[in-house]
Amino acid sequence: MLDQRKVEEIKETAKEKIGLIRSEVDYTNVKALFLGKKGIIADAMKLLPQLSPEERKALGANINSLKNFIETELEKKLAEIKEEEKRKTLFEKSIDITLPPKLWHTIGTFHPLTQVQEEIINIFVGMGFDIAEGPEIESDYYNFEALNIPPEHPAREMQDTFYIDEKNLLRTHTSPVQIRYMEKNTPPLRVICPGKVYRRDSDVTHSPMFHQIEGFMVDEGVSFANLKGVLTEFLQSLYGRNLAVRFRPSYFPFTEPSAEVDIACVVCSGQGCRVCKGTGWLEVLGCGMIHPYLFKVVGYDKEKFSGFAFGLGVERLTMLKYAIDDIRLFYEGNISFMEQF
Amino acid sequence: MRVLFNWLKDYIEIEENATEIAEKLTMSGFEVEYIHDFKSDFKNIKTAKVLSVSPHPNADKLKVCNVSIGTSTLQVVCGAPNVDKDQNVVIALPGAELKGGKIEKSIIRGVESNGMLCSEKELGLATHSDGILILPDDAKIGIDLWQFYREIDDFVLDIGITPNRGDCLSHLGIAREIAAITGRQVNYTKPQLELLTKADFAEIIIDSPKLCPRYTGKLIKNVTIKPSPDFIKLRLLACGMRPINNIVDITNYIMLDLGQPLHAFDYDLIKDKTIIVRTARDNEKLVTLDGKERCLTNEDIVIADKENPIALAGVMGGLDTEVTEKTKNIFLESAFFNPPTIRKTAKRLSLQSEASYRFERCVDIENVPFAACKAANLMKEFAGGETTTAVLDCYPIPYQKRHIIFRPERCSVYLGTTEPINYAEKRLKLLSFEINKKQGEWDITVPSFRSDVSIEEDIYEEIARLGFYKEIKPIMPVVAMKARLDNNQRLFYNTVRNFLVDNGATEVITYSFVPEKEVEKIFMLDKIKGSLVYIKNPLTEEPAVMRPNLVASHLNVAVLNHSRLNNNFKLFEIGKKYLLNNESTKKTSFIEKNVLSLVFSGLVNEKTWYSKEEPFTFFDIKGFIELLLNRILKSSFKLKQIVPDKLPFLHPKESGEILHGQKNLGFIGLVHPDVSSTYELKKDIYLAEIDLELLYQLFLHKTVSYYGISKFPWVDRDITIIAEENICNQDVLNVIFESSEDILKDVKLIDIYRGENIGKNKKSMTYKLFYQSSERTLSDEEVNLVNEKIARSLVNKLNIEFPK
Repeated sequence: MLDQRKVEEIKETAKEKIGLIRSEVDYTNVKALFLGKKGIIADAMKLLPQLSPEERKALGANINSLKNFIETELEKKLAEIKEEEKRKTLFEKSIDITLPPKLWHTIGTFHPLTQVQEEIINIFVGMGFDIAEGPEIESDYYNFEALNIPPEHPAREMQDTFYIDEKNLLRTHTSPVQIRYMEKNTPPLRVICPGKVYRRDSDVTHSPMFHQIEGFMVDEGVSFANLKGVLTEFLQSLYGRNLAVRFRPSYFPFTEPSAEVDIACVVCSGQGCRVCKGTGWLEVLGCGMIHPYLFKVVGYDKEKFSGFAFGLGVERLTMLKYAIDDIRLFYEGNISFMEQF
Repeated sequence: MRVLFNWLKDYIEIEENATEIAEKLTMSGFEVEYIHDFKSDFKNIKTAKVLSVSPHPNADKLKVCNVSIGTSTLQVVCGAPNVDKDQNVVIALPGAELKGGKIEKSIIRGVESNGMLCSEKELGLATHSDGILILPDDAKIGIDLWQFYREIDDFVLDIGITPNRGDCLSHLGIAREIAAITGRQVNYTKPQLELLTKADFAEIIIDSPKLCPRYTGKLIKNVTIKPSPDFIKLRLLACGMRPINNIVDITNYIMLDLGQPLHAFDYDLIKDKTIIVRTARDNEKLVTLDGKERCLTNEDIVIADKENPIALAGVMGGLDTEVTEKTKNIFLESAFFNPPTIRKTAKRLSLQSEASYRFERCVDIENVPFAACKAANLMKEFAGGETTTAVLDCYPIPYQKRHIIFRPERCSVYLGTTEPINYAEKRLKLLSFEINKKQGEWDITVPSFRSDVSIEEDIYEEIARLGFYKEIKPIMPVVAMKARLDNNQRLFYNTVRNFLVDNGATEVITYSFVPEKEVEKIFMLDKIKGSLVYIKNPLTEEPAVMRPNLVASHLNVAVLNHSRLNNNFKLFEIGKKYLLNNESTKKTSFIEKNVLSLVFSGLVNEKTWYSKEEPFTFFDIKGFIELLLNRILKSSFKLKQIVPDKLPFLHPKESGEILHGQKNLGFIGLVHPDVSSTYELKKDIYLAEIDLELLYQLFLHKTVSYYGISKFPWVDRDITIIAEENICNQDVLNVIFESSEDILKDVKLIDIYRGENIGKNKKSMTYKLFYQSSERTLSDEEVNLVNEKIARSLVNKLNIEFPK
């Protein structure tokens, strides 16, 4: 007998069976049981012709909606099972994420001098300075004479020189680039000149080869105050905004007035320690207003233009930055040293 | 230069302590490098009284003394012949540090000794002593030596005097500076004197007035040569000079006092009493005070009698006229010599002395006779000499006062502030400048001792530095904006450097010069000796050259790292190599070329949980270069066998020149086994060098143009060939590309096989060829046709076979 009760009965059985589905196989079996060609729904459908037209119509609609109901429930159940299986496999498969990483290659390191040099250059480049370079085997003229250091000038003693022959030498500073650049260009100029320089000197703080960065600016009305401004800006951008900076009168043949620049000791913050020899200050660069003699050499009108110049040693700043106590470590090429930076 | 704090007080009243003065000096341009408490040199040294002297039981020449140091009595063993009961002496107690070393409590030949009785020599007060120093009878006993000699109770300031400030190489000079900084007056009164152009005692002839514009002489008669008074000895000692005798010490003392070097001749040894200042004759000889014979040139100035030189002017006296114990009469020289000439002589003869140091830096020509007088007065007082106020003065080129026009307005613009101008007049006057104000300009007269001040800007510095530069506030310049002229080459090097580091190479920097023998070790010396740039005065006696390549330096780096058990590395350096430019005939010129040098050693991969150990091979470094050129030029390169012996440090076969088109970009290769053994390298080292300047040019001229991306699929075909060993990959590729059509897009070598089954000295190589058209989907027939054509060419041109 097919009646409304029977339909309800089938629905209850279906709910129960679907509820018990635990796998795709169960799903297939239950689906076949109810929706298959010889399934319960099909069987029920077969009984419809035996009913009266009214009953048939009403019950037919009910069976149809029962069929839809079972289909929907089965789909839901299937999705659940699939989700469950996916979750199972996700958690079944496990790796040891603490294994060391696979490196398809290693990463090298930049030489600490390169790092500090680039840092310095970038600050000046940011302030609109151009970069210029010059030869390392330099003439006596550019290295000394054009810089107001005639032969037999006592200032030559400040820099013990490697000579190649009578007229040529290994430049003792990057200042010759100043002359070479000014000869070829006209103000306004803002330039830095990084490079290797050489002095006949060798111990834990002096190397016969080291790196300097020369910088200069020439324009109308460039003043000592500007020199102080630019160098203070530079040092504070390198070491921090609160860094104390002082300018001390000094002497260089190619600047007038000349100054040495001290910063508050980066090790003890100015309290006095071994690095700053108890003074609280570290000398970091030399500078001054470009000497009128240099303008004469390159043909600038000293009444119209003025300028400042400075020079700093990259090794010294690097040694301070990383607390390196032996300058020779820079040139040995020991990987254990290099990879620390 | 060392300056004594109390000596300065001879010239100026100082209220501040030494540290405060040091700070002020430092901030005005005289960097005080350190302050030394002179007392500390004499710690644990006291005055004492000898209570008893008895013979040493075990040594004839030693005595056992009991000495009192006031609070206690000590037993001391003493070897001095002059030690005696009741003498007042100086004792160095345990802990004292003398020239001979540290004093410690000791047992001398079985007898306990609790210190040492000191001689003047041991205290540094004399060069020679016959016995211990005996103090006067009224000396207070048991006090520290610095309380006995008040000169010891002093501070030594070590000041870095810049080369322009020769005038400050003296106590007077520094006192003048302190006076200017503190706004006080210097008490320097020049002694009374009478300048004579002629005198009976000597004749002075200056042959070269330009080299010696002023020479003065003074006669001091009947001196007694003996040790100097204690204050002179101690002051000299504190300043780092050795006391010798009263005459020599007084000349040194005046030099430290006034900055004027003096020389004392034994007057009786000067022939004909004639002093001639002239240039030396070439090869003229003079035995200097140190006993060495000096060979002179016509660039030296000498003091001579009518025949021979008797002193090397401004540098060192002659032995023949030296002041000795027998000297009775002194001819005292005070002069001004041309600074560059003195420097040249001192440098050539390696004879830098305190005197030459000052002459090189210019002495005060106007003070020349006064220094002589002050010294003569001291000789009168401490050597019993007879002298007068007369000075024989030969002054052929009198000093011309220097005038400088100073424009206050320009100074403010130059310094960037008007502040210091307010003090300009006061400061300049404190510094002894004379000022004559005109309209908007000041006519400034420079004092004779300031040879360094010659231009207007020098005056700006004087004004600014007395304010310690503090009045000048930092001001950022205001400039017109412009696009920066990039130094592209530098940026390019950074690109290369970034690539290398990102790909595992570590940067090194090595010296630009190497010992000549390193060039020999890489077998290059004979080949390029004529092009090497030699350093004339290398650091050591070993000849040194500017490196002709980076190979030797990098092999040494490899050796160092191997010795530290760092066996696996990729290192690089971007640096210059240097050669003589032999092509330029006119004058010497040099080639400095930036190169990239690479050194590979050890393993590409170490053994890990995911990989096997894999050593570096030729193809790893080749691959590295390939990636680099790909990154920089978007293109590849070819390797060419190197002409035999061109680069003898490389393995003859496992090496090649890097060709990009027709350009030779450098080389890669395995280090030659012979070089490996001279360097005692334990691992294979692969090297590469790339000409960065050429690479940069190629980079600048690199052309990249877009081509349409094909919408049609590619197909591939494998070709396996069996070839003789002497057929190389490049040969095969050449044939493939020559005989292909433009649908062939790429070829990859995917396998190499060697085995008995294909025959001896043969290899099988499998290439995958990729075909694609931009217009249509390629048909199998079309691709096969081209592929077969290529196969046929390979057979025809390379005589290869296909596998059966």
